[in-house]
Amino acid sequence: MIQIHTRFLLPLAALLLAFLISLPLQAASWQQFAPVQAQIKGTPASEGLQLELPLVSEDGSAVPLSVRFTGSLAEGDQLESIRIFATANPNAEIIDFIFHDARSLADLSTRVRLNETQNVIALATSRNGRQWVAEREVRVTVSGCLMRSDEQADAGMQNPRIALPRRLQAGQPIEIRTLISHPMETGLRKAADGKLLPQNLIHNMVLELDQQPVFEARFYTGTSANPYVRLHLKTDQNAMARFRWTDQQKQQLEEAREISLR
Amino acid sequence: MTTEQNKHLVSRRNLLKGAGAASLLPLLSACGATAISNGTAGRVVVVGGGFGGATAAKYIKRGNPAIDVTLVEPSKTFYTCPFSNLVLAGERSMDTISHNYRELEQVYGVRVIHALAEDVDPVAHTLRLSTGRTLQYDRLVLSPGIDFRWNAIEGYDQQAAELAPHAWKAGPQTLLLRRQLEAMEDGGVYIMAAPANPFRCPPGPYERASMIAHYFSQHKPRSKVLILDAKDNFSKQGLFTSAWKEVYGDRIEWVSLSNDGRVVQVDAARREVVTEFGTRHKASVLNVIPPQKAGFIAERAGVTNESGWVPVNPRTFESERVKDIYVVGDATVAAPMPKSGFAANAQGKVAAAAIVASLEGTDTADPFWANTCYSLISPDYGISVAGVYRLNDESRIIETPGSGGVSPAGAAASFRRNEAAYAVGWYNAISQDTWGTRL
Repeated sequence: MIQIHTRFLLPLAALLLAFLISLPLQAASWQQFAPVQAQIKGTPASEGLQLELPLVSEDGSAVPLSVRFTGSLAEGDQLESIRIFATANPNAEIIDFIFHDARSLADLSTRVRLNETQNVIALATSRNGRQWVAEREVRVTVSGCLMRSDEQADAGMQNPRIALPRRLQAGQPIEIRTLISHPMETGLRKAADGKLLPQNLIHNMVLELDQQPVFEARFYTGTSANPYVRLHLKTDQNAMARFRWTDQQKQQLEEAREISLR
Repeated sequence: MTTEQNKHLVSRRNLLKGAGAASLLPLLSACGATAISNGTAGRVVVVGGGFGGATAAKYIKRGNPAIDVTLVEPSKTFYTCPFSNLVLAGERSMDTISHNYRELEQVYGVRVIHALAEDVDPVAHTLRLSTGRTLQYDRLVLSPGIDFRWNAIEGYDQQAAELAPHAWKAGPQTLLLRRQLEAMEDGGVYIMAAPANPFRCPPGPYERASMIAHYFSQHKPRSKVLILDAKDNFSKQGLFTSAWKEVYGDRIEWVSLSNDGRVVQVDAARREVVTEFGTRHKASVLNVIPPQKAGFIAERAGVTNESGWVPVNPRTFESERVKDIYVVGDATVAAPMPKSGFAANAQGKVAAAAIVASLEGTDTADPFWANTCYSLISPDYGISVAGVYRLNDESRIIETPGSGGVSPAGAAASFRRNEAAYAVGWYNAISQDTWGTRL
């Protein structure tokens, strides 16, 4: 009896040990990543948030990223924010998308900086506190740190650009693309003389419809130079859309477009 | 989480993915072991007679002449993309960039079949040709190059390419663009839409812009070159932009992604393009280099992933997804190695060594690869980027630290002239190595 037991116990114990060791390794990295953990209350759903990035990026300074919410919300609940995090950048924050009202849709694209091969995490939170998480690994073959030397580190905001479709339909998603010229200097990069170049970032871009804030993008060091945001609106009323960028020095730049529906 | 854990996570996930793929194709491993016919050292079929495929076929035969090697390539004459920009500028004829398969047949005993590869059955280990014939293989090499993502830019499809050529596969498209440049009135604008990464030949669009500016400066001095780019950075950017200033003044204008350079719509008949933020540009000659993916047969063989390119085991260049299929050249995910003819040639040798070893039941040594991309600003002004690549501890391709680099900034004219001569030397050497062409 004893012999049989030991004969089976040993491999069993080995299997159990292997299982226990494998547990933390199988867990997604958001579960071990403190900046994301700090934002999580309870257990986020792993289905319902789609995060898209290339598997391999040959230019870490502008990696295309798309995120879309496909989950379902309880009656009366609405999405509050989607935050994007980098697990191996000097700072975890990449960009935040904030939905001030339900006319802005959770279907967004931007360009991000990735310092090296790493996982990117998206975390969506609803007003009732429900959460969704998505994660993707990106292999980066040229670091986002290798920025061009001819960019002017202390340049201000210039050339705000807005693109709207030619025909806008009531109740249909309207795709809006925004772009502004700005170096988004991280404060982590050295000039030729060895001194750190001072940080110079755009703080955010707010979209208002008839003076009511509808959508906001908050930018960080992980947002690419010349911040680009592609967003979607759904509205059944004509309105004046104002896009306002504010930098760290509280300078502002504004562009307006009329939303006139067919 | 620590980086160490991250590494485990990654390798573990890849392991699981691999296990999943294997269980979907349970017959593969059994076939691979038993399919080698008696009496030969194995049968290898190579699809594609470009830099990667022709090199693989030759080096398998060099490694073991007893291996039966068949090359499947539709064309009897192969035109290289390298140096096709010189044809566009009127500095070379198509003859000087053409190669054939006589050396492979006559010296190395490779059987060459001029047909299109249409489908792969990875379980039965067969390749079906456009002629209706089916070839049996023990190991298959795909060197399919690129295909275009038609309509990824609105209005740019195969018909549009007959009006606004891509010329990103050398041959009739090269001649079409050349004829359009010749027919253009002086004072016109040549517009190129350059793609986002990854794409074939990273410095290629900028060499092309240079060579067309050279042609204009000689024959159409009031004409301009406008590059509308879907990128903010490009290969050897500093060297290109300073050389453009130095040699061509303001003739070449480059519009980056962040300055609304990305073309989203093409009207080929009117030679007009619209960029992402609604700027309309009208060209005298319009050259659209569209987004790309691995050549068609890679998709049929099931070796591509969601990116449209082919993930490979970098040690052997065997597909990560399908056993006994090796993929080399532009179709693969081999970054940081560029999608270049030189890299395809180097990968063809690594795959050849791995195939010879696997058919003999032995192991291969750790591979490494070298690459140089020369670009011509004008026929006597050359610049280059070089790199040596190897595997790191995680079996991923990295650029060997301290290897390679780019040509120095601010070098003397004699230095640039020498690099232009080295570019010709490189072309002659790799043509001889790949096809046996003596130029």
